[in-house]
Amino acid sequence: MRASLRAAGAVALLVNYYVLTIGLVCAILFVEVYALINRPVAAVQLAFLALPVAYALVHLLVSLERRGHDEVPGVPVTAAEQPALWELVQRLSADLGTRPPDELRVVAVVNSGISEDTRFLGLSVRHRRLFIGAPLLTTLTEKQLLAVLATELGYYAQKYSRLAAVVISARGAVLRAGSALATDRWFKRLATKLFRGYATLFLRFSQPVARARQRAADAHAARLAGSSAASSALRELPVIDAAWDLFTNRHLTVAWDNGYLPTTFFEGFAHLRTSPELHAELEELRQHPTDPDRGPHDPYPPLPDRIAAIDALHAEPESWGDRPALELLDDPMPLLDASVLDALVDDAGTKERVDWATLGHIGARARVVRGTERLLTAAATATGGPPSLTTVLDALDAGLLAEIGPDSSVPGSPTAGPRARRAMARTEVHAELSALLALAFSDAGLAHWQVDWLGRTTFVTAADDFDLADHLDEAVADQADTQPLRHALASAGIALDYRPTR
Amino acid sequence: MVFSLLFKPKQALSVIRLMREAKRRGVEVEELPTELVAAFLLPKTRPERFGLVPDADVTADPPVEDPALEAVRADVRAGHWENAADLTAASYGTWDRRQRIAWALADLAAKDDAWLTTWHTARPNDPHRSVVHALSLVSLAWDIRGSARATDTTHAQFEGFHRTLAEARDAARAAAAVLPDDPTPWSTLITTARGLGASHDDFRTLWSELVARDPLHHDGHQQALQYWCAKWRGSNEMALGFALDAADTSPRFAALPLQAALEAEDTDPSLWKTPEVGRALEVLLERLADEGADTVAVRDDRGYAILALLRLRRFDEAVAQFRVLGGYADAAPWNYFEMPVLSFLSLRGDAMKGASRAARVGRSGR
Repeated sequence: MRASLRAAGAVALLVNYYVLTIGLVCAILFVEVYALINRPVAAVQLAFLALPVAYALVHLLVSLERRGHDEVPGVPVTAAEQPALWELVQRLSADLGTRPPDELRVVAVVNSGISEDTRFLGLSVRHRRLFIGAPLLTTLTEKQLLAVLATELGYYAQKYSRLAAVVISARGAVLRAGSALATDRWFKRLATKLFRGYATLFLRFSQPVARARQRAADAHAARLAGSSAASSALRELPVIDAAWDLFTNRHLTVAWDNGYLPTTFFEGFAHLRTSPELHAELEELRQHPTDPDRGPHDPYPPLPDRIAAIDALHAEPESWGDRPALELLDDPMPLLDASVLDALVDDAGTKERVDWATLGHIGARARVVRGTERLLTAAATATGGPPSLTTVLDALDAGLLAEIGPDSSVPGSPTAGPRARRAMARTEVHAELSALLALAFSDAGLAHWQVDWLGRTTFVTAADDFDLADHLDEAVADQADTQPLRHALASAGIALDYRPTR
Repeated sequence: MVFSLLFKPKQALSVIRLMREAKRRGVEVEELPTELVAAFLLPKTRPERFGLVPDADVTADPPVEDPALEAVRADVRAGHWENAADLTAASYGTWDRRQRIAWALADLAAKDDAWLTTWHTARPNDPHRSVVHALSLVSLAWDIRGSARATDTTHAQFEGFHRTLAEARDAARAAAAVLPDDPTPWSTLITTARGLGASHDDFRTLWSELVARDPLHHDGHQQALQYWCAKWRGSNEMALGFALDAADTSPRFAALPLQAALEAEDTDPSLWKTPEVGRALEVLLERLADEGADTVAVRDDRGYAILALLRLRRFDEAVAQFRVLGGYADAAPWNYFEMPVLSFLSLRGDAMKGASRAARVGRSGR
């Protein structure tokens, strides 16, 4: 079937939904009225079944038109605020022969996309929003950004086939509508089930249209930005995605629970992307792009196939600049950081803002604190003292190594003696006590933690201050002697009754 | 537990009765006396007809084999280390006995090593202490790991096992350095190599060091056979190959091929029937004819001979071997099981059931 024919079929299918529903409701009402005139008793009985179904069908039709009041993510950007970006989008829309977006929003995800407010399941488009991922703005060149946006806008473009554009808008609308329907009563569940069945039929039927549009959109992107920029942009997406993932999980929110955020977000992201420790990993991703499964109704083929198709076009770029996309923005950093803040939960505004080095230290320290809590609690329980460094050392002096070890240090043999339990406890207690000492040094201002952009932690101190390995071994030995350790700590200026605070 | 080896439908009823009996006595099934369990689970036998000791006389407690060692064990339990130190030193040169003493002391030290530490403080340069110390770490490592399957062993237990074995390896190296002619530390190294998963080449190096010092080292051969078993670093074939080589070296290792056949039994029961294992059994039987059951080593060998005879359905000979063994269920293969006496009685019952009238004694006299 030719694409345009299929597009026409898909639109007919969509219109038919309204015809069918209204026809069905009319038929039900007609039968009901007819029965009421001729056999009133049966009509009343029938009404119990027929009226709820008719009501549910009408209710569904109405609710499809009801706008959700979902909060729209991202930071809106007006043409007055960012003229260059708006100009690019307008020019691109004109080139592609599609309606320019009514609204432009910067979001903190590695993606861009269009969302529409529509009437009649996408047959009429009321409002179009273009979302641009802030990480893309900071990492792509202007040409690459152009390619990414051209792919999005080209997907919806009407220049080549108005019907296909309607189908694309409709697919979005149907997917949106299908996800939020009432199921609280049996007749509503029935109507919802009918709609979902019809929606699946429509999505399957129109899938080839979507695929054709997607190929055309990629081709537009290649024609405008050139094959090399378009395919390199696609190659870059998983790389940016991985870097952004690492950035948000291991860096941005590392001290969130302790009430801290970095002063600047994208400055740190820029450092992360260009850090030498990440270079090899990111390059590996760039050379071997993969992409995740995005659901059954996603029209895109695998990323490597798209890249190959774009490269095969050998399209030369039109006259677009090749500066960094960031230069399209006036005063970019506040806008980009605002998009990140928008993506974080509401109390992000209450967090204290510190520089990246301090943030890394606070995050690492918090992890170490958590790692010492078990030992402090166990020592306090075993001796009856407060949960402090002294208490731990006292417990060791008292020969309570096995008692303050973790519950997991249970030997496998039922006939094992106390030595086995001690040997198992020793490893854990050694590690935990070592962490406790590191904390004491850090809180005394003698040391701190450094975190590299891979998330690896280094404990930094003047080496001779913290050379306690031998003393530590003596402290957890069977004939424990903590005196040398206590002396070393005292001469370093560490208070023995030290206890870490969260 | 032991009931897994007895789980046959016929015995389900007996097991239920046993559980009822345990409930009546207010104890767990595992805590019931062995002879009671045997009486419930095993078919009635008439051991006296075959000249065998009564069921009640069968014990898993070994007889005193080395009175000096027994005395030292009692000393150590009382916290005295001096006699242990002297006995270890005096055993230098009689390698099998030295190994036995070292194991006995190491097992004690694995439970509590305060006396070993005192020994070290009093005689810091005693090379013999380093031998016991290294072996005690091996014993400790296995205490930490336990004997459960890998899936039932915790991460902490595995970690402790490997860490302690690595310490044992270092300690054994140190002991070997101060006692260059002593095979005992090399036997320890062979045992640690098994637990640490040493490569075949590394293992062969250790092995050549051991046999250079004592070509007939008893415990070393036992440990090496374990290494070559499929459950550690070898295979059924490698274990049998090693055992046959050892048996060719000396009749004292004639039981090793039988042991290899037992280790392979679950995956390949056919090894019992191979001519090589059969020949090893004949050599072993011939050797055992002149030996009683006085040492645990002989009882081990006789136990393997009995098992082989039962597998080959030579019940009369098995009964004869049981007669020499008497009531001692302390050695192999019974000590593979959680309840050695029960497995001893169960197999002895099999032997009597299969035996011909000729195996009975005293008939003509009556």
